[in-house]
Amino acid sequence: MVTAKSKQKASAPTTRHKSVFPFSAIAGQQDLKTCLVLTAVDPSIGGLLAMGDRGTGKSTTVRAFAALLPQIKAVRDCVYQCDPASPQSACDACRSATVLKSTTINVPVVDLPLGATEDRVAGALDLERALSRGEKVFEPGLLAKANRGYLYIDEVNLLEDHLVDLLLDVAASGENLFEREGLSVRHPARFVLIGSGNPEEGELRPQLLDRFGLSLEVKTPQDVASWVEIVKRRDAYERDPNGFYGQWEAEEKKLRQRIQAGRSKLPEVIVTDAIQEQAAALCLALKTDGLRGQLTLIRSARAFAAFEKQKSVTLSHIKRMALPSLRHRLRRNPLEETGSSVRIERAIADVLGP
Amino acid sequence: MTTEDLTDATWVAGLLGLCGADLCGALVAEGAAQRFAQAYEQATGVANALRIVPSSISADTLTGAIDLATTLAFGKPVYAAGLLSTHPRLAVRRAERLDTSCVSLMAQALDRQALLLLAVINPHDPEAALSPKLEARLPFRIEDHAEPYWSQARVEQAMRILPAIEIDGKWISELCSVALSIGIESPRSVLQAVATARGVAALKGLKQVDDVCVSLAARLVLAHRALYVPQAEQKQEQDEVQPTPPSDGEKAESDSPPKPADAEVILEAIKAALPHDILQLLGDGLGKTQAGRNAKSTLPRKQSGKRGRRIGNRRASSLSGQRLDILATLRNAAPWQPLRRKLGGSTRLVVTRDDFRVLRIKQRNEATAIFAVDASGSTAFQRLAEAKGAVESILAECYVRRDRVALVAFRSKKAELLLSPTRSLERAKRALASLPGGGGTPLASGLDEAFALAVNVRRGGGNPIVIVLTDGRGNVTRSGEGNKVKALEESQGAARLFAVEGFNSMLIDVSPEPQKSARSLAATMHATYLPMPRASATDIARPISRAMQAASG
Repeated sequence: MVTAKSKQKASAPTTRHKSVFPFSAIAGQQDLKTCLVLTAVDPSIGGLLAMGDRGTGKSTTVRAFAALLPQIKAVRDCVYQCDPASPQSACDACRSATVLKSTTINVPVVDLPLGATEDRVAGALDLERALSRGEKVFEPGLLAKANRGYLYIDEVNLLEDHLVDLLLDVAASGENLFEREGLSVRHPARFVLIGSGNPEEGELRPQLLDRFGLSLEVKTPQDVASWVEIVKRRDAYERDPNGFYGQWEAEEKKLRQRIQAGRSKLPEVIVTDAIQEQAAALCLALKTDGLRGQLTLIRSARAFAAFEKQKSVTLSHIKRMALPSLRHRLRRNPLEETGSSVRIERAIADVLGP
Repeated sequence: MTTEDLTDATWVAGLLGLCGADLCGALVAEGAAQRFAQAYEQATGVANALRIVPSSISADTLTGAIDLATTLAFGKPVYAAGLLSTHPRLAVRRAERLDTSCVSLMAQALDRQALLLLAVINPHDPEAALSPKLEARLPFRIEDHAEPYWSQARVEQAMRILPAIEIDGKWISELCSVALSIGIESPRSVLQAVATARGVAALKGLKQVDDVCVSLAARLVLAHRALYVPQAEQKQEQDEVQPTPPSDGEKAESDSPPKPADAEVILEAIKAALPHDILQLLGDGLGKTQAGRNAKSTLPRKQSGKRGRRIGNRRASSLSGQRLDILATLRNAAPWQPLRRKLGGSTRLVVTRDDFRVLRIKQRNEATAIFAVDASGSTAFQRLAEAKGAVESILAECYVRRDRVALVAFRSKKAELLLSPTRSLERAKRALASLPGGGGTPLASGLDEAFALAVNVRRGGGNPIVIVLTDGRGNVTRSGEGNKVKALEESQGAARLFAVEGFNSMLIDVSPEPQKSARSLAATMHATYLPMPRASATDIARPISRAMQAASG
């Protein structure tokens, strides 16, 4: 029997013994980087799925991204790191409290290990209190830790079905309902789901596929120059992590500020009816399932415009975001030879013009 | 002895002693493990530096968890620290058996450079493939004997000069271009080669990485990953001979990818519209009939797994790896509390062994469809195309149901496992598309291969379903000779094994007219027999669907 608490205690000494590889210094992977940034500009885009071969640097990029994110304000001592500014989305304790002390924390980025048990993910009975004092108390799991942040699942395609179901429910509703072991708990769990995996090792269930806002195919560049750049940067970092981070600090700061600027600009970005119609026409032409694709397309294009410091969404933004927003929503026939990317590019050319 | 004469394994022992977790570790062949560990421990100067763990190790042991016995004894939670934090230098025996959660945890630790892992596997066992996740992260392969050459003093001296060792940018470029030209997947390997080259220079006492260091590093780290240069594999074995430096450019020329051998016959797969849920029907229907036919069920089904949905709890006197159902345990202990407190004179909760209840967990029994495809000349080429179409349709179903598929093909002289069980549709499609046709029919070998695979799947807790596509006219013996009579005898023998083990199986006769040979083979196998008539895809569908219904009814 393992509780979330015991894991934390035991693994604490081994986490992060070096400063993290800076996000800006990651060579290549421009698409992945852009999409990650957009999920920070507008978390309602709904997560990101990055599928690609082993060793393409997916995990490195996501972990580096975690360190880049601007800090957030949270209620002090709240296990769900509730936002003091929005009590309507807070947990029961924070909502009923009269005075909330706030503190600044890093955006939580939680790694969901592949073999994690349901207890660890959803939470469990607090063993310590149950054994020593005979009290029934809920011990929050990883979903609580990820509230208002990111939940990263490497090898999401190998995740066990019952966990997938659990995650789907929580990701859709934004709260974790725990009804087990005689406990009944409901707590906020709003997070951006980031998944990565290797398609060679197995496919992702279509239901889960659809939950991800954006989807990417990550490839390793196949030219010597990019490899040399990757190896040189990484080598420099490993020899002197702090010095290397120092070199990139200015870049990191710039990007962080751009994300923040994009966030504050987001509500002002205009999406004209003409653009809406064109996005709809594209989705219709591609026969995407449901409205989720179109919604994500508009949202991500808006986030992209905000990040680019523009006042309104243009056709070029739609074209840029069409591939990651729609790629994973076309799959009608799993044996279709033509790749989704090709079909989307064709549709873009047909519907939106060159 | 000079450094020129050292075996590769000796070098790696020194390098791991020097760089430790920064170089992640190595994959070690069983026979070489002990001497390697000794050489490594001598280099670090610490006896028992490596903690040897079995592959059955649990994730809890790695990350740490509550120590139940002590907790109960003291009445307050006591946590045991995990091996990853207390002893991050592990040697795992039979490392291919590690379960996915351990693999995940170890891979994460390797990424943080917080673990040195020696994964010991048996190189002669084709089944002993280490999880690709770990395999990709471990830079070295140890197969030869390591000498206890490096002393602690020497390694410590190397440690002092290591941070200052420079590597010329041109070596990095060279390593990158060689890696790309031999089909290395990830820049990670090059990075490891760079670190290795630096370590070699430090062990040699050089100030700078030179060509010898770079070529040694390339040999140690890159050669065994080469996809296009089979010669590179042999180089590993020749320890004495001065190898030609792989980074000299001449190697890059000879590295043109070989023409794929699968260009023999290019066939277009025809879509055979097989009935929906064919596997479901097979699984359910045949399962039932098999159970009746074969009273002595061969293998005990796994009663309770470690992961999955909980379906209840049961009494347990010892916990041995099972998960405690806390609430049920406490509920059981509750009524006895006043009595026990009085007896023991204690004021706290008294839980005894009898109260223990462990969770019963339902593990998904996953189906694996094993296709054994006859790709011989006698299976006329157009039938092979249809067979491929049929397999593709079933693949699509497997994809939806998240079953695994495996593909065995037999033609000419032998059978070949084209695809070990996978859930990846992409790989299955690729393996199928590149399946060549022509040659004799080594039917017995094909059945043997499928049988061995089915046994393995079942051993791993899965549920194998064997689907043989053939005309049943074997004409090549197991030894590869063309002898019809002997071939027939052997294939009947091989087929009998399926019946004995009671595997769910199905034989699709792909010959233009239904063949007696195929029918009798199916009878021997206790397989459902389905002739595939010369007709359109929909016509193929009908008999299968009828047979399926018959099988399930």
